[in-house]
Amino acid sequence: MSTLHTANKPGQAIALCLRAVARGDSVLLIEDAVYELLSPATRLKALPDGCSVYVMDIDARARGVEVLAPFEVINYDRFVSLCVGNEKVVSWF
Amino acid sequence: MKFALAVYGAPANSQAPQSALHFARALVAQGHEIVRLFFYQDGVNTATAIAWPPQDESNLSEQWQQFVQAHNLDAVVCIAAALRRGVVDQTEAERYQLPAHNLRKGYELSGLGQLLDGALMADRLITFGA
Repeated sequence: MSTLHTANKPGQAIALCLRAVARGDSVLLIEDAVYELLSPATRLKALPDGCSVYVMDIDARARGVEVLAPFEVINYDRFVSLCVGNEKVVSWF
Repeated sequence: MKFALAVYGAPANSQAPQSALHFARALVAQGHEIVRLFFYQDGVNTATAIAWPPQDESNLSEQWQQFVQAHNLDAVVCIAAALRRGVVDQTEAERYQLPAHNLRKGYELSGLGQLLDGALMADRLITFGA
């Protein structure tokens, strides 16, 4: 059973989120959470197998944060699709 | 698919109401059903009728109300969170003898149980934290 985790700020919200991420889960960074990508040592690069990290495009652009592979930029339509494609959605904030 | 949305942040100090509105519009565009909107904690400020942001900023409270009314949504504002922040309807204003009421049309004051009810009714509950 896969879960979509959303995080809306860097720091503790993401740290707690990553403790809960299991194999096959997805993580979506929205709002200020996109600043996490500015950290060279971000733990987002060491997730369990089969995990994807998505980044909300308008939030990254609004903050001047560049999104590079393996992270994927998405829009709200895709956010909805991810909610449908995962059995649970957990929000960290 | 059935969705319930919870909004915990206020327009003036959080991006939550804006993100939630973007998401809600995408839901409707894809043909999904929104069975419950729940405004909680500072999110209750989204439903006040007397906040007026500067003209060169978007008026999220107004945009949310238009969306709620256009799609005839079940929009619940947590009554305990709203009362302590001065967001009240006519009934509550009379009950507590307050000098005014300011809850926008289209919203209903009710208890936290409506959030649980929304979670049970919906296939997915999406929370937009402050």
